[in-house]
Amino acid sequence: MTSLRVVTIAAATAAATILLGWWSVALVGVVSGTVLPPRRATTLEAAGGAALGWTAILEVSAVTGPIWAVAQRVGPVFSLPAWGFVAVTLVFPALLAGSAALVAGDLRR
Amino acid sequence: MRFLRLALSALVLTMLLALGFRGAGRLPPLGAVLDPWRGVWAAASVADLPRRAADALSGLTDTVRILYDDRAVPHIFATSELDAYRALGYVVARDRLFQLELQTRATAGTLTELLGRDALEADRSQRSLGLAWSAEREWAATDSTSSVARAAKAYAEGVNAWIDALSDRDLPLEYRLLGARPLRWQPQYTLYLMKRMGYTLAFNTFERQRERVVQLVGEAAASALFPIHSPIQQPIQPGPGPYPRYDFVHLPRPEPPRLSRRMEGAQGRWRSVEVDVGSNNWAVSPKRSATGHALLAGDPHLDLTLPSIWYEAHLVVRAPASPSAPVDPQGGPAGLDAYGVTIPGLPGIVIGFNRDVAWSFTNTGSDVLDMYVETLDDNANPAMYLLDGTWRPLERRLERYVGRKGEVLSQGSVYYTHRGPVALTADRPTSIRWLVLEAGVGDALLGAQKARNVDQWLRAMETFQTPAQNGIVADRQGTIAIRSTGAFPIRPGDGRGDRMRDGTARQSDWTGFWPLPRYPFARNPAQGYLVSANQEPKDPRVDPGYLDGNWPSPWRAMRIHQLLRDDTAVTVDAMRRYQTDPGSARAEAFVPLLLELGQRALDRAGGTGATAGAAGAAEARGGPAPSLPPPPDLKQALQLLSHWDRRYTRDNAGALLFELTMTELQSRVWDELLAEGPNGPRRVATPGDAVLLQALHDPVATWWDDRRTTDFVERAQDIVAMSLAAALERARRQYGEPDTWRWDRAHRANIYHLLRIPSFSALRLPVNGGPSTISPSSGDGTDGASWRMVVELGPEVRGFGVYPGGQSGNPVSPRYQDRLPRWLNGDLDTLRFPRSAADLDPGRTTATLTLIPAGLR
Repeated sequence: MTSLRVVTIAAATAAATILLGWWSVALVGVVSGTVLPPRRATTLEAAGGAALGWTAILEVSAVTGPIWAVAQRVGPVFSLPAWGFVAVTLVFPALLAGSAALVAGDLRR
Repeated sequence: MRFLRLALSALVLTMLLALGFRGAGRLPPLGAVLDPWRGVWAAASVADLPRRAADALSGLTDTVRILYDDRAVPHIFATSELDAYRALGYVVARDRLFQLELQTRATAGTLTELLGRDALEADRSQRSLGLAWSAEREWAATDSTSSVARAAKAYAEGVNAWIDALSDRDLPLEYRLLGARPLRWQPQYTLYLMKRMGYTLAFNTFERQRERVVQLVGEAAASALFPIHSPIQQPIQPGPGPYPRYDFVHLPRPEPPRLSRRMEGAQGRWRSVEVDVGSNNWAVSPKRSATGHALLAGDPHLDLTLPSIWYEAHLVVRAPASPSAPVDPQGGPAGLDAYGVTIPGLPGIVIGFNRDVAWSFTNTGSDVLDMYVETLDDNANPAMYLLDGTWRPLERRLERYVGRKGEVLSQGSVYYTHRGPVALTADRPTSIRWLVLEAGVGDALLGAQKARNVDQWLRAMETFQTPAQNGIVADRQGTIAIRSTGAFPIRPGDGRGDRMRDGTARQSDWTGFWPLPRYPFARNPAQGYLVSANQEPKDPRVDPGYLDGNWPSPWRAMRIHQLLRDDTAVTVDAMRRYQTDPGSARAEAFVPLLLELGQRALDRAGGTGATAGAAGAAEARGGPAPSLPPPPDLKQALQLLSHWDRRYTRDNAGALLFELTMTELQSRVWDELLAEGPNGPRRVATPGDAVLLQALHDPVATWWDDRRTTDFVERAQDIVAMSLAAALERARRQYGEPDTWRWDRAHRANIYHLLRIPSFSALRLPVNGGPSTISPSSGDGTDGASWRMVVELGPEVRGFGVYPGGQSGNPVSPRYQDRLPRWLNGDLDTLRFPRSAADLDPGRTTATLTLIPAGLR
């Protein structure tokens, strides 16, 4: 059940990001926190789903372009190694969706 | 507890959203950067050109087909010249959009709008020169029906068509990092670009430095140290010869300093007198080429950047079928089939070839900027300047510097006399008259690319004014020619432009320009080849007129002459090899003298056992002074130098010792030119190496005495001995023992991204070549051969070329720096030159783009 929720959130995150932009990840988090049962796992599912959603977009991009080259070139701009930049890219939506889900869940209660 | 958790998670969410939308400190808005669809990651999806693409372009009169070959060069097939420029604007914007904007803003002094407050000083400096102001004025005065105006407008339409069609995912990486959107392209930005080239190639304020030299050593010595004619003559226009000719004179004794040796505060922008980098071009007539066809080589040296200043393109406009077809105003035929490099922002090919003619340029370096000491009514907030006894109003322009969010960062005024902008200083305001602010390139380049023979090319280039260029040209009929073309000012009085002039009198102003027949020129010379490498173009025995007071020593020209003289059957491959030849005429000239003088110091050491007192006493008596005891390392230094092959190959050890010796030598010889600065003594100017060579031939000249040592009068052999030993000691300290030395440990090329982002740059690249080799590489390694080209003008013209970088401006594209390895090795690519779209091998066509007139789609 958890896996299904994570995959659903990931799909929603990916679609929302492509259609609306990065900020919609918070929106997906809010919706997750609102519609899913108020428990700790919901926050983690939202966070994991968001990271997975962005991973999926990166995977698709990697089919057509040199994603690793982007990490290698841009990471150092932020004083990060390539893998560090990839990590930050995935942690950012996770934190965004997770905190949004937590806020929404707490407000709902 | 729940409220605490809610508060904390709300705080985290707010912070993340703030970081995402606004960034923090120097961090850009992170959301837009990290977004995997529209952020920096999207750069990967546009790393390669799509195999097939089409777009509608307003203004097009017919469909334009563009085929990209396997080197990512667009071959543009159009039915009208203006359509070709529209397409060129489009493809350049597609590959180099950020570069287009950055160079425009750099000229306009509006970098702060893109980069923020960090760029304020650069913008102030640029606006104080009035480049954008002059470009706007020139554009306003340009006839809108002229060929240059129509070409610039067509080009702008192409650039803007790409910008208009730009999706978020197409946005260049730099814009994503800066959180900015592209600026729409105005036709006058083409003129901005030419002004920028003028700034790069013809901005010379040597007057300030020279004035300081005069204060330190007197007028006679200054004139000898910084002569208006090169002490070594190897002119572009072959003269009475033989060449090289050494016009050496005795350096007059320096006068005591007239002012304190303290450096004044605002001295303006200084640059080294000896220019270590520079461009080359040469042409070989059929009688000296192996195939019996004329050959032409060109390698302009400029700042090396990623992406490169150049963009390779091929423009084809179907020529009218009839030979009696209409001709353009320059006298060339109306068709166009030109291949070569263009500068992003410029319609047309700058350096390249067509089916009949090949051409290239080196910078003439003529002095087209004079400085005038002005008298103002108020040095801080002036309104008037004095001219011929009457006060005249200054033109004032308010300059406002705007930040990234539209906020005003600063404002200030730039004042203009009838000559040009005024630099305000507390005690001595100066104005400049600078040809770059008055004249442009016109339509010369547009016409030149269509020439069918040397005469047509020369005629087209007659209107070219600035920055003056040594344009070399060869055609399929076997004619070769070269002319230094540009407007060369005539000054009143002695005609020199290397000294400050009195701004209060109109009689200080320029009185005219050289007539065309006086320009340095040569055509089919008896020697069978022509060479330019930024040297003084005309032998002063032929024409002593002032062109510049600051000629670089002609080492590169001498080396090219030597190579071509020794080769009576020149091939394309030989031309390629010569472009990166590691030999050095400078080393050939200096090393024997250094060895001789060093050996003399060594030989005399056993004899006299000199003392400082004895030396001073001998000097006072007018007799020969004994030498200093030789430094302990001298013998080994001489040994190492004598074994040097005088080449700057990457693994060369001797080059390293020689260059350090030259640095030590200069600092010891020219101590008279030291002035106290905020960070200790600093040479106000350094005479060129030709003058140093002249001094070495005059070993008892007063200049050899190091005034910092008060108890001894040094001579050439003492200074050379000390320099050699000090160089050896320094080399050991920096690079270890001699058997581990390599030239590429001391010197490498550094090709920075336009924003100097290290991970977007190619740094510490080992290269062949050193100061004054044909492919010079010196200093911080940021200058070099920006394009190398060799063309054979046979029945079918064959071109070969390479530049350091790649066609794409996208740092993650495989085409961003794919040419770098071949450039580093001195290799050239074969340039594909199809006559028609069908002529390009489909196997080598990597992408196609079809542009159709808007409305037909």
